Amino acid sequence: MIALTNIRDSIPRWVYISFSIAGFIIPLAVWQIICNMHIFSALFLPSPERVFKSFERWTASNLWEDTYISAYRVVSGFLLAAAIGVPIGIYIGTFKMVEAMLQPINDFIRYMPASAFIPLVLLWIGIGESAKISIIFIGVFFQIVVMVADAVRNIPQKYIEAAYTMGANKGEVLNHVIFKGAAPDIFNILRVNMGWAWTYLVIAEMVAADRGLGFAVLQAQRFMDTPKIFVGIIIIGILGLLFDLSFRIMHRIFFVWSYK
Amino acid sequence: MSAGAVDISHIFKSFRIKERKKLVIRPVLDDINLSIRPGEKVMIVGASGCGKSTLLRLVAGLEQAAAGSISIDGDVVNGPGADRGVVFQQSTLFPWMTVWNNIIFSRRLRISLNSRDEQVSRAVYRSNALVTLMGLEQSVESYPNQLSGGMQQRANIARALVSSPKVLLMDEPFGALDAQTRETMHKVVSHLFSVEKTTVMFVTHDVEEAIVLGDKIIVLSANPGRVDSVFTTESLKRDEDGIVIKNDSLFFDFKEQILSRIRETNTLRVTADLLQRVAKTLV
Ligand SMILES: Nc1ncnc2c1ncn2[C@@H]1O[C@H](COP(=O)(O)OP(=O)(O)O)[C@@H](O)[C@H]1O
Ligand SMILES: [Mg+2]
Repeated sequence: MIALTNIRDSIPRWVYISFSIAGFIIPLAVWQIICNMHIFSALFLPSPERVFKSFERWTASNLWEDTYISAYRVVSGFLLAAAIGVPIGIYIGTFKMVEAMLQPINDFIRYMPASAFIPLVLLWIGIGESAKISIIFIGVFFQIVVMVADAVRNIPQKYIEAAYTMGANKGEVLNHVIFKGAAPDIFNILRVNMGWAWTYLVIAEMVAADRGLGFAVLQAQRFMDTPKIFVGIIIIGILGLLFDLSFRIMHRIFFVWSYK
Repeated sequence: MSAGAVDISHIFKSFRIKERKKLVIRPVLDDINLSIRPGEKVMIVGASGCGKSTLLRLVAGLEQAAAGSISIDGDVVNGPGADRGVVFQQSTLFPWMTVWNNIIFSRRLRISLNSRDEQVSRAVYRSNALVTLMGLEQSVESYPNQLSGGMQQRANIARALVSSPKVLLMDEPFGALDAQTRETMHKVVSHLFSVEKTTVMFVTHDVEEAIVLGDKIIVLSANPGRVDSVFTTESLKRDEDGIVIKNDSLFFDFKEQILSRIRETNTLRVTADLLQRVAKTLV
């Protein structure tokens, strides 16, 4: 008998994978059973079969184009937020002066809903690609900043002191200790925010889009095409999951030292 | 680097601490004066909390004194630098570098790729020598978290010595090790001390360790810390390797003298009176 419920105990790999698959199969089965009972009209809850048919129809038309443009928007917004947010986070976590100046305003904006910025983005940036990218950017940038600042603060003081006693100057401490030491955490923060970036896609494509997965979901809503809404949401979920998985694999490769 | 004379003159140090919600100033070191000759191995002992670590951190340049000055070969200390290597009780090896990269870290900082080959090879030569001396040959490619506590401290010592510091500062470096590993480390380090001419300031709460490794033993009194007494180990019996013989009445007496000074100067002494009062509250 395998003990499965001991606190934090590891379980055999095959058991783990079986449970992971079950986590997907069971909701799918429940979904199918509910549809077989014909409680709800297909408009509210289409059957898995109808959703799959819708997926096939979409594939035949422009699913890949929609996917490509959406991925482009998400990745661009995310990369821009990371490229600016990570250095700012590092500086906030390292220098009290920068923290005093930027952290309160960052926290203030962080709690504003990204969707509320849509009118401003339209006004300031217009209706092109950069408008959609901006919404994604606004959605994750302020989170990246605050999380990276925290990661940097978690570097134990003893490493910084050790570097100084070995003759390192401020810049070298920043490079070799603070950045290198926080890198695995920063990478994980980026992984989590990549996921959040996908969740902002539908909002981003509310801004005068004529293509994209989020746009297609909104369009399907207008035409009460519930199966297509399901397909759109599921595809966004799968893409998010794939990105997450590749970040995890890269983490294992880049930061071998952070694993026991 | 040469010499390594440490001159500590009229050092005062206090900390602002919160006591019953009020900020109070607690004096920790009170007029410390020490003069350490180049190459001397000085052990600092004293009750817990008497300011041993603080004194070492002042010499390292990691703390600033309220008054007084510390100088190394006449150069006043104002901040940390590579002329003073430091080993703490807790390993400070960077977990993100291999042991080798940790050891060569301080050299890497100062030797650029375009500097003369001779400089690079000298740094590598010294690093290799220290790796051998510390018995780390098998561990250089490992990451610190793959090493035992004892091996980590060996690597910390090698790293602290790689840039040939004038002074090596050690704050209870073996305090977290088990008794057997500590015994081994004593052998390794007394050999190291006999070949490395660097000056050493070594804090420990283990009086035997102090006697075995030191030329001179300084007892700090507590609250506030002052230099209470100074002992030298030169009159003790040694074996042919120069290691102090522990199984000797001279050794016992010497150890007892030091212990009694530490007991005497510890303000948190457990007196018979205190024990009686505690006993009453327990009834
Ligand atoms: N950063 C600090 N802030 C406040 N008090 C401190 C600080 N560092 C040390 N102290 C206090 O100074 C005293 C001496 O500490 P320390 O030098 O660590 O003693 P030792 O190493 O001899 O045990 C202790 O009472 C300790 O609480
Ligand atoms: Mg201490």
